[in-house]
Amino acid sequence: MPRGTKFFGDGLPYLKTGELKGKLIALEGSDGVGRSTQIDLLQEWLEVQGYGVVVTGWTRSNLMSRTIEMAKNGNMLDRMTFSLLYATDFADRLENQILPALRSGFVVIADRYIYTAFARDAVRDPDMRWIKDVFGFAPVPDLVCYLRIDVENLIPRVIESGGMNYWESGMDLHVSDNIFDSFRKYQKGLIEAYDKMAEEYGFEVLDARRSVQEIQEDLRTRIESIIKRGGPQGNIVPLPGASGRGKEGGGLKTSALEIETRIQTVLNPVKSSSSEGPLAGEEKSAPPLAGLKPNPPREASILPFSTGGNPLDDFPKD
Amino acid sequence: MFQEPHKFTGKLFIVEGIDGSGKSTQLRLLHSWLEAQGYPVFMTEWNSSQLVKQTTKEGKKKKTLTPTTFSLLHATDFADRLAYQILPPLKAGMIVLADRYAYTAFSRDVVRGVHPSWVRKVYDFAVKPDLAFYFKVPLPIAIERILSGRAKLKYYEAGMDLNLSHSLEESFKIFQGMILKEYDRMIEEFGLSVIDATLEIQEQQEIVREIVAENLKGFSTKRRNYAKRNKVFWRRFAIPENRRA
Repeated sequence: MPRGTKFFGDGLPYLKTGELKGKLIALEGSDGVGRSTQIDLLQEWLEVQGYGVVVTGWTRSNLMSRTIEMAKNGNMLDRMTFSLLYATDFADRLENQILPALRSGFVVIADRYIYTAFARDAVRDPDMRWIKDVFGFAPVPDLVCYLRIDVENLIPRVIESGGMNYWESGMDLHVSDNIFDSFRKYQKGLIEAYDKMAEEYGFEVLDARRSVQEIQEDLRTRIESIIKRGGPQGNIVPLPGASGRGKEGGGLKTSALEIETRIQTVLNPVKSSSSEGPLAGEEKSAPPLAGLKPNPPREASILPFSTGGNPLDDFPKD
Repeated sequence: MFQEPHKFTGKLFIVEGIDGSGKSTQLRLLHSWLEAQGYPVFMTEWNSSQLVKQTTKEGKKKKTLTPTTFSLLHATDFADRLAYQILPPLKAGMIVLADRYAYTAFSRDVVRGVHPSWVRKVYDFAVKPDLAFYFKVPLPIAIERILSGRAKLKYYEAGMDLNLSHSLEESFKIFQGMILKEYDRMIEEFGLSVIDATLEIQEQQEIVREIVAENLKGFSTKRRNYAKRNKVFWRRFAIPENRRA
């Protein structure tokens, strides 16, 4: 087992990875919450700083992506088969993409991580022991950011950006005969599962009802501290020759104006790769909510978030 | 779940053993015998589901499979077959015969390097077989059978991904030897019924049938009405003994 790398379970005994110099950052959150938009912005921001970035997407492995698409379009799959398809996809990306990148010092951003499999399995069977065992070979990320939204705010976004699909609605569970009610119940179940995991695994919970810019700033603050923290694997160093903007202190700070510009460049060009679709309606669909506190500023040495009270308290109980 | 006997009305008999142990031959003979007696029988083979067939094939061709993806692909195949091929006949009171079962993963994948306890947990959803036959054969005999009878060894079949040897044949020998050791370890762990696979084919089959017959005592969901094509349609479905008036 590679030294310094923590796994959820039994790990990968046959693999001798050297020291993992990079950082693994996972973004979780409901379908349509805006993960891809945020990741595009993060990637650009990090690359400008000179960090090598690899983005890895759920079900996007060379080995499995087509099979999973086919399976979703065709057969009825039972819970175990579906979860194992996900696990195979993840294992392929882990060994052929994520670990090599971490070994060479990249910042790896995972668009969804194994918690996605946990959540969808939890909705189908509350006993999560099996699914957790299956993913025992997964390394524990350095940071998990959970973009949290409540289902009522999520629905208009999803409808605006292309509508609800069969699997995102958990239609296979037959909780309702129409897609709207099914989507609502299913996504609500997923959010509940994520909330539970947020406490169990210490996710950084980010309020995803805010504007793209606010969320991005929030994400950057948290990621910054992880990248600079060092920890057992030491600091990762930006590539030489990269733009040395403010190398000493606050090297990663970016002004709100800069973020705004980046958002424009990411959102506006002809762009269809984002599965979340355009988020132009962001401001509209995330109305300011009374009683919503801004996230407190963070110190460079981050404390476990559980010490600051339950961040989920800010949300209305669905 | 894998530790406890299942509660279905059917029966699940499986065979295990290294390549060249003769297990498939024995299973075929058992199949004919059971059918001749009028039992409804369903056969299923390791790694045969359509779902991941193409993926496995491609991964093998491109040699991008790692021990973990290799293991998980087979688990996916198994889960799909369990849901579609094993559970329905078991629930319908039929006899299911499986050529290789989870034990194949427990030996092969562990030799490849995955954690023994991990792969056992992955297969925790499997149904415990009523009988698990292990055809035990000394390595040289199995090697002889395989190398004389088969066209050409394949890359993963020979365990070439483990870098045991540059020679396909040499690698195969070492690989099978390691698998054999894992099987031997499992005899006690899972209570496998060991059959001496050096015996003559009929001798082995006799022993197998004896054990199966013993297990089938009191089991009588024999094919009844549906094969006779009665005109009254509901008679085509066998009614379990305990439901009869």
